[in-house]
Amino acid sequence: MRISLIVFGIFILCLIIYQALKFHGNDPEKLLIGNWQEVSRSYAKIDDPKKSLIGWLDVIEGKINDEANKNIIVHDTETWRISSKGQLALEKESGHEHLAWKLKGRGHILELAYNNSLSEYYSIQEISDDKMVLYYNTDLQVRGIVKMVFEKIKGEEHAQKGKQ
Amino acid sequence: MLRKVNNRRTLSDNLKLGILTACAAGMVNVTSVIVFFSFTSNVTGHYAILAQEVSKGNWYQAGVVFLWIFLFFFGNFMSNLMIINFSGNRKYLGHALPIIVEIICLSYTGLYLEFAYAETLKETELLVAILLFAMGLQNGLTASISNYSVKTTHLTGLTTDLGIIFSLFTRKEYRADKMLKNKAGLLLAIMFSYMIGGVFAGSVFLMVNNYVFFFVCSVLSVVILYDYSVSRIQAKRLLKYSLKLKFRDTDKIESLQRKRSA
Repeated sequence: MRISLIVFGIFILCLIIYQALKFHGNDPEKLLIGNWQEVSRSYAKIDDPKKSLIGWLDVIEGKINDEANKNIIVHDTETWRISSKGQLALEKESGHEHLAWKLKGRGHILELAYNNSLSEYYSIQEISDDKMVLYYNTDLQVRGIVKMVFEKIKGEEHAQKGKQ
Repeated sequence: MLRKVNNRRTLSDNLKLGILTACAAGMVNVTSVIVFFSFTSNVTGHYAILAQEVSKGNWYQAGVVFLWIFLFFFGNFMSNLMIINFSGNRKYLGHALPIIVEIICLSYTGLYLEFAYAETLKETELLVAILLFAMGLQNGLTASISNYSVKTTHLTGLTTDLGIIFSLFTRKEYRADKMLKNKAGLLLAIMFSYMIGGVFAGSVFLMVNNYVFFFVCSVLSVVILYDYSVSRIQAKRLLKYSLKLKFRDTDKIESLQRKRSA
């Protein structure tokens, strides 16, 4: 009886720890919602094979990059407007595009689904109230091919909230 | 496969159990990576992620990963609790129960994914938790009844053991050791089954999507039904044999009585 109570106590304690951690932290879905302005984008650097002592390694890396780039849809986007209903509006110079977004894993993978059933996956490296850093995620075991940094547009968000 | 425990188990029992459950674990792990972007048959990576999230101050994610690790632990705990609390005639039930609960968890996940999954983060967290609990149940069962020689949901310890055994095989006296050879064979069988299960799930997922979980359930059903069918066949044979003996004896008695009366 006493042992059962201890086991039950441990179970309840673990659930309390889980709830406390979740309560103390920020829900990544809530953090993601808002308007994000892209401020920088950097691509993985491939060194010149001629200059390198182990040039063949760079050639392999180049091939991996080519393979990964096959599935990349290049964004010319300026702003991502992410709504709570799973919709994302891409605002770019050439026009607008509407996608669906989902979070996977423990909230560290952002999936963007296009209307033509094509999907892109991004690893969320960092997300806070005002900054988001994404890495393009591929099936290959390579470091992030594209790093995108966003900043939240605070003023517009307040204006939108005001309108609502 | 499930009926015998510890030292009463033969190599064949461990091989059958190891191959089938490793195949199931490989299928579950690969499917969960495809669907949820998360591993569900091992927790070593989750410990590293928990430490990383705590160091970054991402308490929400730390809480989620903590729950996942806890449920894997709880699955192992529940599995062994069932085994030690069912004894005597109910021993087989005690060993089959963790697999039955695992099948329920996997079926629920498959059905939910197919008919109700809206791909929200909460659903993903919950379904990963259920799968980790199911894998904990399986790991607890196989490790407990095989005296810790069969662990099928993760391959870290297995790869370590294989490395040690193969280093021993560099010396002639160890190469002749039948026990070591059997152990190496068992570990290799588990490793390849896990891989085959993973490759199969990855390929089949493209065709049947979430129904792949029902393939896992059918593999696990074989684990449960194998012992049941074998014991029924044995019981039938025993009955036949005893009936034969009985009739032979009655014939003998009758002939003796006839002789006496004559």
